[in-house]
Amino acid sequence: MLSTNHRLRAGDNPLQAEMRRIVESIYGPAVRRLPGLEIGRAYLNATNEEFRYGGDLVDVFHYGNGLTSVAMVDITGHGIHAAMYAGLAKHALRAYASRGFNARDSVRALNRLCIENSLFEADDEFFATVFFGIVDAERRTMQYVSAGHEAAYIVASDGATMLAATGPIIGLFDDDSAFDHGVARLSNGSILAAVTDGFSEARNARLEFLGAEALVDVVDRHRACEAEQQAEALTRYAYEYANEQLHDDVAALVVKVQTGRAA
Amino acid sequence: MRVHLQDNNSIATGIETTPIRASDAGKRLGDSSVQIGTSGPPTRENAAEILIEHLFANTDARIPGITYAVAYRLAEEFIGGDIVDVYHFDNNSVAFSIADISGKGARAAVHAALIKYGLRAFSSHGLAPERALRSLDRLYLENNNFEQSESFATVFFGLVDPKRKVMAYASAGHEPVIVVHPDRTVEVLAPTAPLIGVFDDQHHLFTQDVVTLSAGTLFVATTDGVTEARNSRGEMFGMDRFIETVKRNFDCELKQLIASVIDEAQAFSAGRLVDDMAIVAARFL
Repeated sequence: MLSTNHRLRAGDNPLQAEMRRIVESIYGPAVRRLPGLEIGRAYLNATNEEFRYGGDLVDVFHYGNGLTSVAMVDITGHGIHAAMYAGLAKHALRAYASRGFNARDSVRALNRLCIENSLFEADDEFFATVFFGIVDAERRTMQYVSAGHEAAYIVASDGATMLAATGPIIGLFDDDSAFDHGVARLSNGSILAAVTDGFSEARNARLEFLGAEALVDVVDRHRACEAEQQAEALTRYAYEYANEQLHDDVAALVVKVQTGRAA
Repeated sequence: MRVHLQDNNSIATGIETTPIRASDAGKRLGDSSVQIGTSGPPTRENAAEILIEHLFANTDARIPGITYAVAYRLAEEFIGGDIVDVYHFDNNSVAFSIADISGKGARAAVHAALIKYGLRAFSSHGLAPERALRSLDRLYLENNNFEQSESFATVFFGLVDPKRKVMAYASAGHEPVIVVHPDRTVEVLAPTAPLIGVFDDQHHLFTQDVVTLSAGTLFVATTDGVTEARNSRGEMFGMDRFIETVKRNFDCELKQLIASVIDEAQAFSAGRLVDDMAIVAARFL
């Protein structure tokens, strides 16, 4: 059975419901609308086991100053250690952005923290690709860092822009200067879409990779749909492309920019 | 922490009347491939253990000049609510934090993770304890706003400089924290700030203090599950019994010391565990 999100289900006992909520709580909040933005996310486990802790994290947070952050983190490995680092990345990025750090300084500080954390939690090796954007919905701009995260696009009516990596993966180089940032314009009606490499590395029967660029087509075809449906369309597309045999979890994040009337 | 706000905004702990069975969830899940849900529904024990595995302090780490131990005991029907963390920065300073979060279950678990990783993030970046707690309060309020929750917490955060043998600390309304000096004098580390998650306009009240840690000093912090354990007459275990128990076990191994505190608090309440208990102890060499 294909299940894209951890959801409460009829028939859950209270404890199962509780565990689902805890898993939900680590891996991201429910879909929500924020001023000027509509947010969707989807998560597909490579195995169809419930509660398998994956290494993909999608997080959205809204700050008191009116800014919104979107984070997508693809962590090496699975299991409890990956979940622990997902929690670390999620809350540390929120913490730094809450302190007023911009996207670049937040990721620099996270990188430093993760290297330090790996030394302390000596049994862990930690690497991750990170996409972290701080969106100013009012000014329709996003400052972002892509730490080796190759699969984020802005799909606008006049074409798609790939947001190329602005730095290496985190957890590897103890060097702030390695991390730069980019600025993207988010015109009304444009869509920010990002996936983890479980999407781009899905393989068909001829062992051909799906590639990240396929994302643009899927988003474009579902342009009229709600953000959550778009995100689910992305994970479903990878699942079908791989003949229902994914080797890695797939997470998708879709942010629709809708200030005033949709374009 | 099960709480209600009194008139003067101080915190009092309410009493749960559900029948309780203590669960000693002291063992760690060392196997990172543990999966839930593949062999029947998760039990309360493994759910709680997995959560604790995520969130509680790494007890395997060796920190030069310091020995430490952590213990926790879960009240039935509770998951989350208390959090203990120990962290060794790569500049060699060491952080101890303990927090008691309102509510229970998944919501409390989210806030436990927020507190643990938020404090690591702020202090790793160089914020002093008072600043770290102030920033955490801001993040906590933003999170309450974002998740439309009304959570609050007491938090103690101490940052040890092993070379100067001092601990700078800030305590957001977290009471049961003591230092026992080598001459057995006891210093209670009283709150230096209001609890977090409540007041958006009280940041001028966040202060910090400092305590000397000469060789042989013992630090013990716990949650009000210990100090507010009640006997059949409704009396609380209290700070005095907590301090007495620590002093009596001063020379024991830390693991035994903290187990004694928890055991005695639980024995005091005739074995009933109405609230989670968490405890951390450290000795400075």
